[in-house]
Amino acid sequence: MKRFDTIGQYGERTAIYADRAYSYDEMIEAADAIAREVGDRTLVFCLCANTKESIFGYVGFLRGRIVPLLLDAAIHSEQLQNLIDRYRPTHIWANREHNQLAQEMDTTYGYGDYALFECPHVIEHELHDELALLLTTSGSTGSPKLVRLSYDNLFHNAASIVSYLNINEDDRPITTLPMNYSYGLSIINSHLVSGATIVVTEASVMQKEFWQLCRNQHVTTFGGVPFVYEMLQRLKFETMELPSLTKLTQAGGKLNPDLASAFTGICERKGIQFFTMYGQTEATARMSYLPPDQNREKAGSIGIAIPGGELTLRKETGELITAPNVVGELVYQGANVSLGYAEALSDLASGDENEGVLYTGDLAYMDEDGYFFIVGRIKRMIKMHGNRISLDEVEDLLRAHGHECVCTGTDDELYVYTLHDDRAAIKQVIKDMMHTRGVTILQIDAIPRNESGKILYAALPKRELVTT
Amino acid sequence: MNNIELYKTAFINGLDVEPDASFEEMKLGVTKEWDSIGHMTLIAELEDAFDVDLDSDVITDFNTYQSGIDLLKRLGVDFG
Repeated sequence: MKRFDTIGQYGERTAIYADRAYSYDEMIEAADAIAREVGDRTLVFCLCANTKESIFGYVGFLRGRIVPLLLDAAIHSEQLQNLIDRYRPTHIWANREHNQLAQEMDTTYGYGDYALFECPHVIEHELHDELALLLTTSGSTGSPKLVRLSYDNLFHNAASIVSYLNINEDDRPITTLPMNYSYGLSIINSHLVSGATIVVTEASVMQKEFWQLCRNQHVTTFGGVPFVYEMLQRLKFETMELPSLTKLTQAGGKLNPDLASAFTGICERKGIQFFTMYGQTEATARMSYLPPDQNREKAGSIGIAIPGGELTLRKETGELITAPNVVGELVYQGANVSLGYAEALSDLASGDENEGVLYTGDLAYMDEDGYFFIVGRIKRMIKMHGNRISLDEVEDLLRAHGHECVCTGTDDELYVYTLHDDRAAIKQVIKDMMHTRGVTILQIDAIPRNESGKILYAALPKRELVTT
Repeated sequence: MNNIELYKTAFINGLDVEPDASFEEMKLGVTKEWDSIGHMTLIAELEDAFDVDLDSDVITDFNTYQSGIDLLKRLGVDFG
């Protein structure tokens, strides 16, 4: 099942429901027509929203061996321009009314609300044979660092997910996550290869239309990052009548223990299977899952490796940890481990640099029964509303705008420290790129450092301590 | 502060927009600042400002500046 080349077998079955039903045949026809317009194996950008146009473009590019970089349709124009300049796509598949693109480029082909924008000054890309897809490493700081995924990566991971979630052609997921985000994309991939029907909507769980669609289209499943579960709790999900719903998945960060326990109970009462999962874009999407019958016994665990994968723990020296309850770096091995990163055009010609092994940067231990528990992170990364953010990249971004800052934080709490009276300007830069919810900007007198000048992040205050 | 000012203040704080923003044109999912994350904060601000409990129906019906006023009126908030 490489490159969606066998989904034609689902023929007249409904692939996508977006205001009306689109069969697999109709999707493939539209998808292949988009890819034919691009022609040869080149690099394109696909500006993604949860619409049929985005999905059809993506399916067409994979089937046609065209390599797409998936980006959020709402990407900041400056960030989009930086990526265009760096990676030189031949075409951009985007809404035909996209302000910036419509001004600068001609379109060759349209489908629905989308059109294929032709980039001027086309170059010939050198693309590695196995390269299928590019995803960004960070949702919002605009870092040009990309993850290179192969056809094998995508379809091995999709097959594992289909197996442990027991996905079949009667499943009807509804979109709740951006498709340019690895978790959102994995839901699309695993259901399309199964011949299922994806209900596509741009409405969020906060909108009545979303719940109407769930009921009218007999939705069986959806996924959510921790923030989605916070919203569901706020909406008193337990009181909602959704008889067709049989499976919920959660990934994109650790759910707080109270919420996890609440949803374990709610789902048991409603007869819904509740899956907690763990993954990274560097492993295409998923690396582990907690079987729902273990939700109580192994609360807080990321579970066990997905089918075909293996999780191990390593000491700092690289030595394998075999004893239970000893913390080390979580290492994943499997066919879904990405080829590597790309930071420049020339990297797109590179082959497999990871050789199936991913050092996750997460610190974890394994219990006596072989279940894994994450306890911290080696890398300076946090998640804001499910989006991974590198603290160093936030510092770089602010520096590029003339603000020397130090950043620290935990999931959903970002602290930015400045020595100057420029908090309002810093807030504006952050607001342009990401949400300011959970962001605290503090002015301090001095940055605490050790004797060798290394910043002591743990010594930074969590509230205003200006003495001037 | 009268109720319409309280209402606007909830938008300013909840969505992190400027006091001179075009409030009347704001729409959930369309206005950049008013996505689902902003909506959660805005709901909390409104509940504090008017001392009301907003249930799921109100939260999912509320999608424009005007619809929020209508929903709050139904809960007994007087907008004059």
